[in-house]
Amino acid sequence: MIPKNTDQQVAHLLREAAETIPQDTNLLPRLQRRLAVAATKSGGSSHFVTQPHIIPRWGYLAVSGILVAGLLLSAFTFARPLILSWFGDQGLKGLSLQNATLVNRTVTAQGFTVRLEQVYADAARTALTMQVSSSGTNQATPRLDTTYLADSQGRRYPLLTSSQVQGDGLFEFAPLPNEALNAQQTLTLVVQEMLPGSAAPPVAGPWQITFHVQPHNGRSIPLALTPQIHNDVAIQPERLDLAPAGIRLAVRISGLKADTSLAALANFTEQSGDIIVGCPPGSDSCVSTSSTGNGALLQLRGPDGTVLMPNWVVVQDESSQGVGSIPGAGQVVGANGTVVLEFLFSQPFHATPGTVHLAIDQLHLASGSASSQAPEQIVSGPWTFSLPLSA
Amino acid sequence: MRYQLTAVRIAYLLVQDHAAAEDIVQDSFLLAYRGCRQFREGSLFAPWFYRIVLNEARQHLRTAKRHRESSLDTLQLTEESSPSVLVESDPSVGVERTEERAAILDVLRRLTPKQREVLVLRYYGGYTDQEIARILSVPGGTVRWRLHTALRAFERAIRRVHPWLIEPESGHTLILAQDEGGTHP
Repeated sequence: MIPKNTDQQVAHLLREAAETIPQDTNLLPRLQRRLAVAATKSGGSSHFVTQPHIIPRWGYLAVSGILVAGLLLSAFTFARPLILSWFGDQGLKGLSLQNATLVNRTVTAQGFTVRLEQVYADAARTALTMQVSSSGTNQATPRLDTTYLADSQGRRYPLLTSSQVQGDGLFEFAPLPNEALNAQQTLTLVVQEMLPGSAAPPVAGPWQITFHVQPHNGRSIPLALTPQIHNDVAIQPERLDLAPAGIRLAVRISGLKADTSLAALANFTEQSGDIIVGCPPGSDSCVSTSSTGNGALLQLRGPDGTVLMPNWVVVQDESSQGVGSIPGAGQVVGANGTVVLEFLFSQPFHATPGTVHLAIDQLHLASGSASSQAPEQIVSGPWTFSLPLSA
Repeated sequence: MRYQLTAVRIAYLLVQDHAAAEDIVQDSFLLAYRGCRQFREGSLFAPWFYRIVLNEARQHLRTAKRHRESSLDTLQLTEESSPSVLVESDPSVGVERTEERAAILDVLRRLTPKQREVLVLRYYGGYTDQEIARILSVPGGTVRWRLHTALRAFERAIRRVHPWLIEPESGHTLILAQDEGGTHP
């Protein structure tokens, strides 16, 4: 019998198919043969691998191995903060490491040490790399979900995404507002609690590190475009921020009902409940029959033909003080029926002169009222705009 | 060699050929042996090794595709075609299970290689989005998107060609049925 849960169903089917490969599969004999053949070819004689020759060869290899390991270790020790990769963020990968601000500050509490290594800030995100270690017996990398940045004015920048591998982590937060990109900023990293593992209870902090960062402001282009209306919903792009490692697009949406859920509205992927769309240009898996082009509900086509889809969508409202927030389940548009969404793209365009084309296929409208029984409504466009980069 | 069984099974789910899967994993071990200096200190071996396995499997699929195109260009598969994946006959496994395995592999074969990769890494390998992103060197959002499209494609293929895989006599809810309601015409 197949389990009812979707994940269990798929896992069951794949396990069943995988069991075609018998449990006692042993590749070792064939591998040994292949290694022997390779050794014979390189040495020209099977005597090459006989015992008398192996001892000095292993001795030589051991000494070489120790030397190589020592060199690698010293290289990692000195260069580690510089060579720590930006994980999977395509935009950050293209940056010179000189763009990042080295912090290298540490805080320890409750047996956990947080080391803040590098910070990078532009109009599309504030990213930082950290290392988390535990002095206890728990070797699992703790999760840091309840983490945010705060600035000197008390504004909070929510965590958008994080990648953690073996204690190293890349954490990306909502970007600084434009006026803050022009000068050095003082920010505080706040980790409220650590989640050491599914079996262990959360460990309360906080762990706080205050640091300075010099943001990269790029170019901000105000847009004066006529709103387009479909099904009484008007959309008007307001501003395009071209950052070295990404893009921020501010779009005003009006004509909405007061109880429209912000979380549903900010959902620009077909996967319900997940506002992240990430899908690189050229990916053959981003195909859908219900949306434009590559499966996105919103696309930005650059002058060089690059098609970008938003990695994150944040909301600007009266309470956000210029900082985008991730809407909660109960948040609604409000009485004025208007909201500004910021679409954050984690890659820049390769060439900026020319025109950017924006296409929004549809909006997901749902009531944010807990008592409402109304189903989600799809309002179809498309809303399409040409955004001149020379403005 | 502790990773060999999982590695062979992952390769098998990707290429659907037992002998090829073993070759892929052998080649991967040799490549890992030769390229061990590229292994980043402090990293886990398994994700690094499975990335090599995936690359080898991709290479195999590309080569196999070229071979098929040049030698079997008259053969066209259709949605309704019967399973063409050969599953070895095992006396210890009943006919029913053999058929089920063949049907699952047939469904997998209908996904794109990238969809197969994320599906296998998540649901057979048990990796999280972030770990898969690390293995595939793509952003986490891309992994989530690929998983989403992979699950939809997996379900569609099952419904079209082997609905009995998920529609037992009890008639319980289909995979992803909750995601289909009204959103995707």
